[in-house]
Amino acid sequence: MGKKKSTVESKRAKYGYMFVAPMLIVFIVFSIYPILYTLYLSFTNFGGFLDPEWVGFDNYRRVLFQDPTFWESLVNTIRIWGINIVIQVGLAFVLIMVFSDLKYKIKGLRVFRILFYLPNLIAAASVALIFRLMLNTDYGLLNTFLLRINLISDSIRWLDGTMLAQISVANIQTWMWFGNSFILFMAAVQAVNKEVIESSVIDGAGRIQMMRHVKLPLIKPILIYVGVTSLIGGLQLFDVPYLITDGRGAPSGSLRTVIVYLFNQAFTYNNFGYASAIAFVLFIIVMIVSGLFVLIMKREDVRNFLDARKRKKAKL
Amino acid sequence: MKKLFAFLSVAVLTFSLAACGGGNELNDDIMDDPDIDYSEETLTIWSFTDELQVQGDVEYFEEQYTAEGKEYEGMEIEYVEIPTADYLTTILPTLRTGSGAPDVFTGELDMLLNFMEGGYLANLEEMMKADEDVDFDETKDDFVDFIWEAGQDTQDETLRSLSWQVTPGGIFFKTDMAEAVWGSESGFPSDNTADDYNQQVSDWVAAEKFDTLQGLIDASEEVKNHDANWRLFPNDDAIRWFSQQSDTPESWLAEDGLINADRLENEEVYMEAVADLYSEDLDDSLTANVGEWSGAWYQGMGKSFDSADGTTFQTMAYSMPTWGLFDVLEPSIELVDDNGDTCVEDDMTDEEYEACEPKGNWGVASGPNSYFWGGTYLNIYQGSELKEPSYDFVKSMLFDTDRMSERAENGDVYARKSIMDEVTADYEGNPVLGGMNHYEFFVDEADKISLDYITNYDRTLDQIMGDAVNDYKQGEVDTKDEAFSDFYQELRSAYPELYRSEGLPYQD
Repeated sequence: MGKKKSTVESKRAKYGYMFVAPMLIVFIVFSIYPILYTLYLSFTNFGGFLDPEWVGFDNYRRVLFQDPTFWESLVNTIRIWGINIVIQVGLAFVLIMVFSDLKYKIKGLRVFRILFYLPNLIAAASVALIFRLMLNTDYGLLNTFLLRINLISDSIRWLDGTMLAQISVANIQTWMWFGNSFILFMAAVQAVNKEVIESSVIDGAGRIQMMRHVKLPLIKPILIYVGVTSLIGGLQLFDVPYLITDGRGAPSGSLRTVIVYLFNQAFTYNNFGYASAIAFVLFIIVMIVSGLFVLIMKREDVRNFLDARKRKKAKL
Repeated sequence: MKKLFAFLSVAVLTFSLAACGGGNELNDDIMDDPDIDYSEETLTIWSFTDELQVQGDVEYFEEQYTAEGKEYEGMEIEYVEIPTADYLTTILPTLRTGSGAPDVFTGELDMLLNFMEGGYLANLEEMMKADEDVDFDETKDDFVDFIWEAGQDTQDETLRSLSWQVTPGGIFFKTDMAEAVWGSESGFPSDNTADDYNQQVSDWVAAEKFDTLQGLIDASEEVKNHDANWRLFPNDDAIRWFSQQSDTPESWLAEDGLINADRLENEEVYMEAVADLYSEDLDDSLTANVGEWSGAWYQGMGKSFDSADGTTFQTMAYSMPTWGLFDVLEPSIELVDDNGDTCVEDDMTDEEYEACEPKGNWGVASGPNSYFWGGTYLNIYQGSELKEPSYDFVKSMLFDTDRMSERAENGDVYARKSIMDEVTADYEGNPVLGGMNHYEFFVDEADKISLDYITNYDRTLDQIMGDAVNDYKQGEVDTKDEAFSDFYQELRSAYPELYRSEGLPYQD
């Protein structure tokens, strides 16, 4: 009897495997295989033409201990992300203060949500091109405007100065992503019990106090969520810095992020082996950050928020 | 489940190792499978430019070879244009694996070395010799030497690639602005109604103003001193072609295969020259700081353009090659009506605007050294299964002299001497250049070009040095010491095998 059941089960299981096979094959060919092949290349000196030669851990030694450019790129990446996340979260906070204020009762939240989210829908290539034209020092639209209204007397070198270029790109990232943060924060604020807010008003809390002592603690879980997901994305920053400069992160390498560096090592300098090692070092860094993320996600308050959001979405 | 996992692991590893084995089996036969049905096939052509389509080369091939009753009747032609910046990164992996590779593809000179190193180019020489319509030796003699040499395999000197064009450059400039600035100087042509006035002015500026790198800086200063809103060049990129100040420039690599110290010594002089031309403050800058290929850069070829602070600038000169004349300059220059007044498209009817003529105020002069910019070489993929139609496509562009003579009307300068003799014999002069014969100018410039210095690292090393020069001119680094230190760091990161541990300028 038991044997018969097991045969039926294995027959059923066969169909199961058949159903998952298409997805599994696509997954192996397009995800597993490239990852394994990249891992293999990272132990070779493959230059794009001749067959790869095994070099052991040389590439990893070079990335970790002998290549200052890699570490400079990592610092650039974190710096651009850091400026971006501070402004992004700050801006989103100001907006939720305004939109969740009981006195203002601003209407049309949906419209604003769409408007704020729109930049996120524009292709990064277009964004980079538009801002490249706008931020040109001597002929750009922004300086033309600021000079014509006499707000500045000399052109600002938005993309020509090391620090300013990083700030400019960070702000472009903010412009692209603040709508996303705003929507998440707003959802968290709306999930807060109105009675809590009302009672804090009755107790005499001002806007700043209410933000600091009532809303902020309540949306802290989502703040962590936004921060960590943004860091994972930020470490892989590529398109805007690559397209807005000469493709190598000028001026003075200030916009050379890790992925810009990796791309150039692979596709400009034909160092595919070394670029693969950089990819895996970055992969490990992202894994560590993601591990942190998983730990945070296990926190009860974060899980509760995400569950509540899922339920709300399901209802809609 | 365990079995499935084991199977998948083995499959993945086998797949990986099979792919790692490198290279596909290339078909080195020059003849196609005799049973092939061309009407079922598609000839794929990849290029980094649209010129083969725009100039009607694909259309001509279709008329001659794939139309009804022709040799490859019914064969489809697929033309794929890939932006120059992405071209090598797209085509190299494709050629390596052979999957989806083109049958015919174009490339610039420095790309050829990559293609040859990978063994991706079919034996064009063998195909030519097997073609009774082509006399190999005669054709070889007819081609400009450096174009032929560039197409020869670095290993065995077999011809594998060839270009129909030569693309030497010069400095195009506005003769009326030159007259305003230097008209009173000794020897400047006095009769501006002479038929060959533009030629005379071009000869004069070439000898007196554009003959050295320092001469270009001095000339830039003189133009700005004449009028505070006039500039010789739109930006300092215009002098990058003269960084080596020689018709036989120093190569990036020395004979031992490492970075060449002499080249870097010249780059240091160039770095200083760029810093002399540039200033962050437009009022002080000897150029207009206009980015190459930007809207204002093009406008400057017409009359003038405005900066962000509202200053109206006029620029006199642009460094450009042959194709710059008909692809870039001609569509952008100032047009005038019968009274000599500037034509403004928005203020005129279509008929009136179409009747406008070029002002004819441009000349073209040699710079401190000859140079070339671009140039499209034709290649047949070694692994192609359509070698015969691929060769015929190349043949229609390189060895069909009737077609070449007809095509030469577009202004392209051809790599075949017989074609150029024919074209220049009846040429009445270019109206944009006030009747100057630009063909003669460019043929002379092409004769001076040597390819001894070319390496397949040129493009990237030029870019890396370009970054160091920009950082120095913009003050991102304070000293040349720092600029060179950045260059060395980048060099060691990109090509550690090329770095020389001593004997380089500003080396720690």
